[in-house]
Amino acid sequence: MNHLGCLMVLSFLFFACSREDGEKALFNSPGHFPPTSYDFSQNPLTPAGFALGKKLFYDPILSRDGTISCNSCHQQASAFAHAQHDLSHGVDDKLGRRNAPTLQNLAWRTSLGWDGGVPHLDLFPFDPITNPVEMDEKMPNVLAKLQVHSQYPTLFEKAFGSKTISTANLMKALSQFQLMLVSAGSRYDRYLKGQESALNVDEKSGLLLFQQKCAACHAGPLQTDHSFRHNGLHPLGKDPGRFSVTLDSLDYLRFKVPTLRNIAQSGPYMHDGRLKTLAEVIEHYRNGATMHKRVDPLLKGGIAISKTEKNQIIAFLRSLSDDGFLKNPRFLE
Amino acid sequence: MIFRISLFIVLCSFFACQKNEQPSPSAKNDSGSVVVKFDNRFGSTKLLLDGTEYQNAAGENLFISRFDYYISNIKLQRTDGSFYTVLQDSSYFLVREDQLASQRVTLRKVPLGEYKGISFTIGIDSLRSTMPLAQRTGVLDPGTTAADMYWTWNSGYIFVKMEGSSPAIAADPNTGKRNFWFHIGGFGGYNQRSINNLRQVNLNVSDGTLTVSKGQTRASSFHLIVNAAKMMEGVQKVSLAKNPVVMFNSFSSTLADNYAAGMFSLSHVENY
Repeated sequence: MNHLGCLMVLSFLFFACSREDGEKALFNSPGHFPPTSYDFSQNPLTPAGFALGKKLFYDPILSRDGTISCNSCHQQASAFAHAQHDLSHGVDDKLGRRNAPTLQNLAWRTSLGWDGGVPHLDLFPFDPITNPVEMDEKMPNVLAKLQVHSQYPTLFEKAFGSKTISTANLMKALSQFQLMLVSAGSRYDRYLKGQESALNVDEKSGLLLFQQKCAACHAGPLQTDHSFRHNGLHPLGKDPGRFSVTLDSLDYLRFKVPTLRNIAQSGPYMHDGRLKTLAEVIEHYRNGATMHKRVDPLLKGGIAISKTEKNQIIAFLRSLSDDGFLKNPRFLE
Repeated sequence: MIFRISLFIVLCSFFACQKNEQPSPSAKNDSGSVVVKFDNRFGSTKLLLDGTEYQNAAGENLFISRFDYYISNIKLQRTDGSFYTVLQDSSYFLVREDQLASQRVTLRKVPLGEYKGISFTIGIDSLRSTMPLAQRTGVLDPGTTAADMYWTWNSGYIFVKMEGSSPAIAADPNTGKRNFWFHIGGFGGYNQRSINNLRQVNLNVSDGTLTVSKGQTRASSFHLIVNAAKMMEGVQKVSLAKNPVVMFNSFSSTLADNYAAGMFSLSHVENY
C-alpha cells in the first residue's frame, strides 16, 4: 500500500513536471500578439496530446464512411483552408454552404465558424463531424470506433492518463493540435518587431493604406476585431449568417471578420468562397454601388481605393504569408 | 437454462430496485431518497409511440414517434415553505418516452422531513450549458447520451424534443412524408443575447405531504403527469400544418410557454 502510494505520488509529480515543461516548449504566445482567449489551464498542452490531436486531425475515421478527415478541407499549404474550393466538400461529394476557413492562431479566437455559433474550440469538432454535408457521422460511433482501434486507446492513455476515450479528451486532443497552429513569422511580423527592411516600399505604402481603409474591421496583428458584419455581398442562397445564432434581425447576413494572415494562399475568399482573387475582393469593397443595402455603415458607398493603391494593398496582404507556418514539418501528417 | 437466466435477471432487477430505493447508507440516517416518476400522456391517455393516433387542440390528427425532455435544478419544498435544493451535480435528468428507466428519477440524500412541493427547470441552465465538456458527462455528454439532444452548430442542448407526423401537414415534395419536428432549446446565448427557452415549473401536492423518514423500506415518490398535448395548447393553440418545423427560431418560445403552462402536473405522492 505504501509502495503504491509512493508510486502514485511519484508518477503524479513526473506527469505534472512533464506537462509543464511540454507546455512551455510547445506553445509560445508571440510578443506582439494580444493575450490568448483559450483557457490553457483547462487543457494543458503536452507532446502526447499534440501528437494525438494531429493523428486525429488527419484521420478519416472521424467520418461516417472513412473518406473525409479534418484535413480534407483544412490543408496546411493553404493555412489549413481548402485551396481552390469555394465550398466545403463532405462525404458522398456533398457540398457545404460555406467556405472552409483557415485554421491558424485559434487560441486568440473568441468564437468559431463564420456565424460564431460555437463559442469554444473544444466544442467545434462536433459540428463538422456530425454535419450531414461534411463528415456525417454520429459522435457515439466516433468514440466507439476509436475505442476499439489498435492504437488510439494507448495514445489517449499517454495524453490523458486513461485508455477510456471520453468526449472531453477527444475534443481536448483535437484542440491541442489546432492551438499549436500559430502563424506569426511573416515578413509583416518581422517588420512589426522592428526590422524595417522586411517590407519593401510598395508593401509599406500598402500597410499605411490598409491601416487607413481596412483596419477598422481587420484590426490589430490578427487583422480582425472578431465582430460580425455585413460586407455588402448579396446573398446567393438562403444562408442568414449570424442571424441563425442570435435570432437578432440586425445580425441577418452578417458574417465574421476573418483574419487575413496567409491570405494569398487561402483563396477563394468570402464566407461562400465566391471571389477567386484578392483583386476581386478589393474591387468589391471599392464598388459601393453594387453593395447590398444592409451593408455595414463602415462600407457604405464603398472604400475609395485607386488602382495604384489597390496594387499596394495587395502587395501588403502578400507580406502576411508565413512560409515557416505553411511548410512547418511539425504540422505534417 | 432459460429459467436460470430469468432468475438472474429477476434477482438483478430486485437488487437494482433495492439499491435505487433504499435510503443511502452513507447518509447516516439523517437523509433518504425520493423518487420522481414521469408519466407521459397525451390528453387523458397514455402516450404511446407505436402509431396510436391522437388529436391536438387545433383539431389535427397526429402520431408521435419521439418525446424526450431535460429536467434540471430540482428543489423540494418543505411544509414550512423552505426549499431543499438537490446537489447541482446530481440534478440533471433526461427523460425519454422510449426508455422506461429514464422516466423514474431518484434523488438521494434528501433531508428527512415532510415535503409539499417540487420545482425544477425544463432544460439545461446557461451555467451548465457553458461548462467545460469534462463537467458535462452522463446525460449531458454531447458525444454520447446527449448527442441527439445537442445543437452542434449553435452550441447548446435541445431541452424538449417531440417528433411525429400528421395527415394535416402538407407532404414533403421529395419524400412524400408529413412529419413534424419540435426541437426546443436556447439558454439565452453565450456572448450575445439570444432566445431563452428555459422554463421553471413549480408543483404542489394538493392533498397531504411527501414523507422522508428513517427506516423507509422504499423511497417515497412524486407522481408527475406529463401531458404532451400541452405543447400545442398550453397558452396558444399551435397548428402542425402551419408549424411543422419548430427548432431554433423565435416561434420556439411559444412552444416553451406552452410546455411551461401545465404540461407537468403533480398527480399524487406515495409514502412508505
